[in-house]
Amino acid sequence: MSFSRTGLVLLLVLVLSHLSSVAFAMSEEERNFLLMYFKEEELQVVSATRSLKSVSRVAENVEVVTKYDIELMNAHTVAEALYFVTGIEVSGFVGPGAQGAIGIHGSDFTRVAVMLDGVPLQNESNAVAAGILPVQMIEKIEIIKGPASSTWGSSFGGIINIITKSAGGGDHINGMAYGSGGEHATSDIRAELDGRKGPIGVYLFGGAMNSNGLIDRHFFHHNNFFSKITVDAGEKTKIDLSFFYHKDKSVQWDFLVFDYDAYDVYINENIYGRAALQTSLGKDLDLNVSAWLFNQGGPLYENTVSTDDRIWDDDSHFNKYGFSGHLAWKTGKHVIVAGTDVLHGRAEASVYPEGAVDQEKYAFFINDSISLGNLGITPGLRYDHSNLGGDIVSPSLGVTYLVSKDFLLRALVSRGFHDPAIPAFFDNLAGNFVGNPGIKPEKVWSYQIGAEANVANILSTKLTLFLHDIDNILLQKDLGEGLLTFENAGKERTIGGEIEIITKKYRGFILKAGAHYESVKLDNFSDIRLFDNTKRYGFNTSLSYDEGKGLRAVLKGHYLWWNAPPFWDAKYNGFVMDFNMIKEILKKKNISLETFFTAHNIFDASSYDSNVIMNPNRWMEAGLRGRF
Amino acid sequence: MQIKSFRKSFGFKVFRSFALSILVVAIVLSALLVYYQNSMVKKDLYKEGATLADMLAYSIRTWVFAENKDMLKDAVQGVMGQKNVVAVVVYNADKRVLLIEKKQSVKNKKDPFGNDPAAAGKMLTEQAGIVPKTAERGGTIGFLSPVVLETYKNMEDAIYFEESPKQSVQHVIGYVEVVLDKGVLRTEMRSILIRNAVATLLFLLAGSIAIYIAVRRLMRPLTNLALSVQSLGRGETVAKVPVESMDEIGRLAMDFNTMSDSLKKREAEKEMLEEKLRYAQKMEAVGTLARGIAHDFNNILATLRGSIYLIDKKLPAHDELRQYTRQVHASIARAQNLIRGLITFSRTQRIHFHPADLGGIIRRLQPMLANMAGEGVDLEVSLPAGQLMVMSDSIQLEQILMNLCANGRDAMPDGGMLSISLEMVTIGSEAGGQYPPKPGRYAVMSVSDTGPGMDDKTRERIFEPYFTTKDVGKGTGLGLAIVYGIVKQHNGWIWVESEKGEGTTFRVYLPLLENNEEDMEMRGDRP
Amino acid sequence: MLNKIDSISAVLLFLLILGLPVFAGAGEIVVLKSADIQPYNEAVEGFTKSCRCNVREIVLNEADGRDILEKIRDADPEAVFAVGMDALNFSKTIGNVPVIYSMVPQSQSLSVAQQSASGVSMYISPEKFIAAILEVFPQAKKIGVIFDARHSGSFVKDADSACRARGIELVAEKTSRPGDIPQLIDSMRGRIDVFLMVPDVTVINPESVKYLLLFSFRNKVPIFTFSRKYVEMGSAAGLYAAPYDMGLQAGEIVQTIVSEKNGKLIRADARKTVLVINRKIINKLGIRVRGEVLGRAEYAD
Repeated sequence: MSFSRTGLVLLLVLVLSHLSSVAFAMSEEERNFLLMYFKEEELQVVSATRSLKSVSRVAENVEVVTKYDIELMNAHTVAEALYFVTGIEVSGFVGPGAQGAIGIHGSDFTRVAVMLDGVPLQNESNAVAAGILPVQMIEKIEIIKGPASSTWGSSFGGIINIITKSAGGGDHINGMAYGSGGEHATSDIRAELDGRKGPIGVYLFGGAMNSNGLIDRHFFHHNNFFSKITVDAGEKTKIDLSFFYHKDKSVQWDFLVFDYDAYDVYINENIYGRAALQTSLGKDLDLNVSAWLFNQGGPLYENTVSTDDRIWDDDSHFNKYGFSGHLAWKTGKHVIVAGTDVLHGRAEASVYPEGAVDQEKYAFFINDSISLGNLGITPGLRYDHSNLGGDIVSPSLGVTYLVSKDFLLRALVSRGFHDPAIPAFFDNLAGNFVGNPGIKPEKVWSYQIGAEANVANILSTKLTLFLHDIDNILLQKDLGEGLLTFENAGKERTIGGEIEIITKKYRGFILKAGAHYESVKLDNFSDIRLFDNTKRYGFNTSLSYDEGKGLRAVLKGHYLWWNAPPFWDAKYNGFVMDFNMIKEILKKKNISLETFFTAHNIFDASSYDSNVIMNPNRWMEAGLRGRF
Repeated sequence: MQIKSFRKSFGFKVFRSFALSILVVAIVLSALLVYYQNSMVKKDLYKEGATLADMLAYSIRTWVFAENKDMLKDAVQGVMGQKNVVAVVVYNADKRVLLIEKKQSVKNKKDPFGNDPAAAGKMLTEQAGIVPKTAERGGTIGFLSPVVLETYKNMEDAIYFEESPKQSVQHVIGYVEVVLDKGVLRTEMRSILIRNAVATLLFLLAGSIAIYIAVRRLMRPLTNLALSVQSLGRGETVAKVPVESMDEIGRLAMDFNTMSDSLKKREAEKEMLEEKLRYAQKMEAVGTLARGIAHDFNNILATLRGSIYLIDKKLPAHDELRQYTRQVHASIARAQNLIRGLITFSRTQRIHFHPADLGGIIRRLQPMLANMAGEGVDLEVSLPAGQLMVMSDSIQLEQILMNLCANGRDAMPDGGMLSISLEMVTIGSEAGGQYPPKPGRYAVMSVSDTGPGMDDKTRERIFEPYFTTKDVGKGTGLGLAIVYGIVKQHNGWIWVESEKGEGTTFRVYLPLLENNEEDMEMRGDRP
Repeated sequence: MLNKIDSISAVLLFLLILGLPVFAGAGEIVVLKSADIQPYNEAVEGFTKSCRCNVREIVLNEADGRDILEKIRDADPEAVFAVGMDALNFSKTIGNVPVIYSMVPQSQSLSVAQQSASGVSMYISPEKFIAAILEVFPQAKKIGVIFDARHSGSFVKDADSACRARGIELVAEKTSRPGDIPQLIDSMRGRIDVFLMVPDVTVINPESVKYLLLFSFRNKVPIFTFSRKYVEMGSAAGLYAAPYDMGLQAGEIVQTIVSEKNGKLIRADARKTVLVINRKIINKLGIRVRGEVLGRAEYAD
């Protein structure tokens, strides 16, 4: 089901995927034909951005990062790929391999859902370490900023949906090998194979990353393996089987900052499997079902640095499996999608009563896309049940209006929610915490309006304004005698906006710029975040070059005014600028070889919200990529 | 200073004349080179311009005929890309300009065609009758080449006489002018000059260095000798001046070496005496330090001891914790022993001096010492017949004996001979060399073992507190330090003789009691 | 409590919207372009003008082939207007939607005819060419042409009969190798009065055109060509169809197909043609063109 929910998002989305696509290369045949009639100048691509005017029919604020973008910026992990997206606030990021927590528009990382082909990757605490997810198998990453609960369930600040490459795209076998090495003994080795034989397509990716730590005190190594098998069972049916294995070990000495004589070791092992079936039941009726499992966890321990004595260890696991299915029905001007999500999760850790707790969730949803000429209406409704936290209904209504072929208006009202972390329901007396089984999900009413426009065929721009009224915020409550618990007591209002501008391609150059601003106001500030009021803003810039002549380069900049309370010891003094250059050094019929060089954080800027975890200083890497 | 002195030297004069001749040669050579290269560059530029104009005229004839500016522009791009080309002008047969292409950078800087931008460098005007081939103007040179199209006289001829030789007519359908920048000549010239200057400089530098080295080599023995004499004058240590030859300079060096050797010998003797004094001072300082620490420590230990006693009292009789309090107690006792040793070393304890017979003390202690020596170690004691009276604290003297014997025994784990002897020596005022007590009569108590002995390094440090060669946990490192302290309190001196493999002998010098009054006075001075 | 009210109102709202009567909006047509280039945009402009429909433009992109298909299917258009060869090839995979093509060679439009596509090919009939040549050069008795039978066989055959019908001769040289062309051009010296350039990818390339022009200038043989581009370059005259006009024509075809819905195919050649003349060349070659013809023609000089 998640597969064609992808499709649904596609239908809803697709504004910016074109903005970032390469200038289209015509077939040789067509070009030769046209050259008989027209001059070379007349065949220059007019503008890679023109297509903006026709496609956008989405009420949400959506952005897409494609595999092309990822390759151009030489990102190693999902956290890196998202670092330069306007509105995204990455905390706890110390370079590839570190946790990398993705926040959106003032919602912290526990409130943002991350999915791999529709499978939720959150652990029991609603956290996803985007910095350990590899990028090679990714086709694109779709980002919905703002709640999207009426389609996706628990997703407060937004959705990061990672869509993997399809298997057996070409007729023959294609392969890729990648190797890069950089400072601090950082290396990334990847290999990729893709082929098709008859109805069966196979995609394989294996990789390993290592580093002595891009800031001191952070050593890690990762191993990744991803495979996808696609079977075309007849004209109208397709089966996808995906498997993903990830294991990492990281060692961190973060707490030395506090003269705390300890280092932490995390060993994490993820196993992911998904089987999906997509079939057409009739001319206008499609069925999608999928079953999946996702196991994550591993030991975590802490030793003293001085004597290497074990101070503490824990072994926690969160294993879940689920089922999704939906029907998509096209009738007249309606496209109606209705389906269900079922999830069973089991969290194991020594802190729980009996060592483990179970999470049971199910949901039903329905949404409709109505297109009435220039007007598009998308109502949606979803009912969620969870054994922890209870029931909740999330409606949404989006409207788009194409004022002219170069100008689109959109508005969205939606109800969103966010499941509390599982440990919040249970006692953890070692941590002086008393569980509260009565807590409910945090809820939001979100209002967004936006516009997209082509300006004079030189640039396109996208503007979004939002207001999130958040209720039932979980706040820490002091029970006396040093004991704490959670209760639904807080209220918060976030107001903000963002603007993005992208120029049309000129001599291979594309300039993008984005800015976002949000003001968060808490009614009751006994929150763990320890601020009652903050205003935050950020800038992103990107200048890319690609004229299809074998040389590609990009210079990206990111600045975030964290506005963190002083005792966080935050530091954000400048633009984090990354530069990457790719040069083709060999191109034969079936084989190509390119070399690349990346300078990360060229100006040594600091951008972190806490001095416990600082962003890496300038570091360089270089490598080779070969394809056949 | 060295350079200054070099400049005054004979060597410098040699060096200067060589360097000057190199300079002259280099300048003449490079001037010749510059002239030659410059004329080559100019010739090349003219050749290049003419060739470019001819080639261009041939390749663009189609577009000149069609008078198609776009195609002309494309066709001219290749030539415009050449380094020296600043402009290309294309004319039709009527000498009307079809195309003017100028290099962007030139446009911005200044017009390459001088003061008449309207003329735009056109060598041809519609009226001009003669067609020049080249023209130099200000900063540029123009090269002109006609564009020729071969046409066939008329079609009928061709149809009827296909086999006849082609009757073609050459039409001039236009002209091409390629304008080259003479600035290139200037920049070429400049780079030639710079290259030559750099080469000359390098040549000069290399030559100077080579000459300098050669001169230095020649002058080195003299310079060395002079430097050595200077530093000897300042009283610094002087190494031997190398004698590199047997000429006058060499002999001078040999004489100098003899002189400085004898000076050095005297210096060494002085130094040894100073070394002895420093050692004594160091031991004194260590003692003072130890005294301070020991005193405070003793107080702390007393408190601890009291507290642990109270805890012990409060615990039930068979409480398991008792074993720990006992351990603490024992540890405190050990610590107090140690402190006591330190205190002894540092003379904070009052000492009770009595006249005592040293031989008697040894005799009294002999059985115990024999016992202490243990199996495998024989004890040999040789005492004089009479009494040797010294002012002493006999308990402390016993301690000296026991410590020295224990030390000797530990040095012989595989057995050996431990000898104790006592004798009287008289030290006169003429004596020196070894650590000398005041002149007078002394009782000398020697304790020798037949162990492995020790090296000089160990011997020098053997009386320092906490210095031990024994395995960790076996010795406190305080034994000999205590001995040293006691001996010093007795106005005596202790000396150790040892060679690697020859065993070790400790000699304790204690002043013999001549008359009581004198000794009492002395005790009054030193508490 | 609050939650319940929220839920009920949400459900009501949803049902309300779901039941919205769907009024008849103007039909939507997806424009699928091979690339975002000026000639195609002109064709689309013409198309938009005459079809009177909602247009959604999609630029074909190899990398996102699957996505585009999905996009088109989701748009559920009444017809797809394929602009360019790649777009027409791609539109075969859409299925179930009428496809109207433009800016493609006639050969391609013929080969996909079975695939139920209608449209306008970039093709001007030989009759029109011969007629135009005789208008500009009434004295011409022999017209030279070099062609590759694989591409322009039928064009030359038709041209030959058109010439015969008018009592003049077509001097045709067949080739399949671009390398032979200079030699063939030279062989025409003295045998022809006018050279007709045909849109044949074997014959037309920058080198052969340059050689042909040189031949034309040296021997004072005018060239009649098929695009404005070559007239600007130095051909004496030419006949071409403007993308805007072909788009206009395609728009009318779409209207017919969508309104009639009888599955009939409409395949046409370019209807409107433009005569273009290079006066400078005509003068240099010493040719006199009738004032009436000059008055009708566009100039490219």
